[in-house]
Amino acid sequence: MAVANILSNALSAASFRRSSAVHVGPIGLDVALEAIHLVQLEASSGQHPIVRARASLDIKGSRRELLEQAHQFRSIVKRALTADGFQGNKAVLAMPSGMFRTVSINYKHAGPKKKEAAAILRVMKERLDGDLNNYVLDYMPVRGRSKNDEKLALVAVAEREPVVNFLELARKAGLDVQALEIGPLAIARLAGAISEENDSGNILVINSGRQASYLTLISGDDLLFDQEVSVGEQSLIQHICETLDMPEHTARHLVSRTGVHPGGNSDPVSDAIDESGLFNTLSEILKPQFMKLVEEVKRAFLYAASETRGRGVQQVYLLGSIARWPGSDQLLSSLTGSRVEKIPDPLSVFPSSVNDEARAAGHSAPEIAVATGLALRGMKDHG
Amino acid sequence: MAELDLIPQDYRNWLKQRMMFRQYLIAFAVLNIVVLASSGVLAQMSKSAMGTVRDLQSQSAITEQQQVQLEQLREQQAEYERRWSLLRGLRAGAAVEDIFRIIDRSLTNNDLWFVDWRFRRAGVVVDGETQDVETGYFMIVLEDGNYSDNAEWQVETHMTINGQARDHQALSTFVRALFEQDSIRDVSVQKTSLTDYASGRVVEFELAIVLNSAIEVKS
Repeated sequence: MAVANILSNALSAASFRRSSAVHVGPIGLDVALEAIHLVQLEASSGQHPIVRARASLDIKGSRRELLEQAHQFRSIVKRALTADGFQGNKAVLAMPSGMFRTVSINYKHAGPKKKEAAAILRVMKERLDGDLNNYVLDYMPVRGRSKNDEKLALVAVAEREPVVNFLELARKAGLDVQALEIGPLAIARLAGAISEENDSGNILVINSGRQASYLTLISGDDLLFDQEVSVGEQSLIQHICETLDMPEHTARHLVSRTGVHPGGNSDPVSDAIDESGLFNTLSEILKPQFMKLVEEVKRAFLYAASETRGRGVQQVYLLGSIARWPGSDQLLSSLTGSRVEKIPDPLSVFPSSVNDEARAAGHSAPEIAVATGLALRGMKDHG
Repeated sequence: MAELDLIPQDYRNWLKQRMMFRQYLIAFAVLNIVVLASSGVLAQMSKSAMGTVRDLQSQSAITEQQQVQLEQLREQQAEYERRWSLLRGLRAGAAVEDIFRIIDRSLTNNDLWFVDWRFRRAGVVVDGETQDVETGYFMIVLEDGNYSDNAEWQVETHMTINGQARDHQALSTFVRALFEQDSIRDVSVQKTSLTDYASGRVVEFELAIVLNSAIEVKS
């Protein structure tokens, strides 16, 4: 009996040690237009990452004001960190949209890897205005796309001063910035993590913003391109206002409540609206605007097919402000002829810990997709 | 998946240098605090030790003073004991009436008579050599309190008798009779001479008689 107890205790201790070997990843921080989103993942050895902590706090005022006032930024970050069980201050940040751009370039390079950067710099020097020292850039070679000695790379470029200012802002907020990324890469990482489970091949992510939307094309582990399209939520709302002659907030409420396509909401009110023909009216109003986006999406399909030996795009994910409109994914599906889905809720992709389960059960949080992608950096080896 | 990072390398280097400088500052501050605290503790310990040393020194001074006083008291005690011994010596010995009785017992017939009789009992300074007639020795304490190694006190109790005898036979009988007395230590005939008178010839003599004393010898 005593031996059994000792063995039981020893096994319990070993089990505890195993469960205590948890790798906690960096905090992914996304400064979106209206809110900041923080996500931190953790993973026990050999197990799938789970969401350790997450927080989303609305920005009072505009994002620009927030980024100009260090004390306000520090305050909101501290509040977000104390809102949930975040551990440490190591963080991976995404450059806010509008402060960087991505460029797909072809460059010739056949020598050692060290000279690859010089080749890319030579190409970028021709594309950028002024001194290269005023810019910060990094690149991702797109593997397997070389034709002879010509290669393809996706280059992220930002002006140096805003980058340093943003990093200083984060440092003064008490964050230890491990890496400064771009949103599309975070989304690509998240999409890659999702596709690992269902092997969805080439993926196109439509990230809709206020003023513009971004198309991110991912093929396996490669980010093929990231492109800005000048169709945003604001332009669509503005078009509804002009057509229906209604104030902006009414139009915004109408779209977010009723949606843009029948079947977006399946409740009695939606059914009544559907019968009234409002969905059809909104769809007809928005279709010409959406078509600009659809054209770019189709071009992305062609590009994906040309770069991946005709594989095409198997999955289109929609996220961002337009994704919050009921039926927007179905409208885009009908327009593109491809399956468009809202990006899976990160909280459903990464199962929450026991304590978070109740919290996660009642909430879908697609807005934390970028923050989750950022938090995934460095977690892959532990998942 | 390849990673992108837009943190400029020189900014990273600056952060690293800043962190190292901060760590250096913290280490320096901690070191200073430790040194200051240690010096404070050591100063306190030194102060405490100095206090202890002072206390011990004062106690030691008190002890030395007490030792000097003790020594002085011992010397005084010794001096008093010497004086007391001297006084005892001076008081000791045969009583005067016993001396007369002894002398009287030694006289036979009327062949000898005394002309002069001197009795002396006193402490006298001798030079450390044993005297025949001595009965005791004392250490000499000078007026300034110092001792003399050689000088000693001696209690001298003797009688000097000047007298006349009818003849030498009578003088000899008298001297032998004195010797036989316990209280007589020595008898010394100092001088004899014959003197003629109208009535006849007599022997004039001078005797020194040393009496035993009750004084114990002290060194």
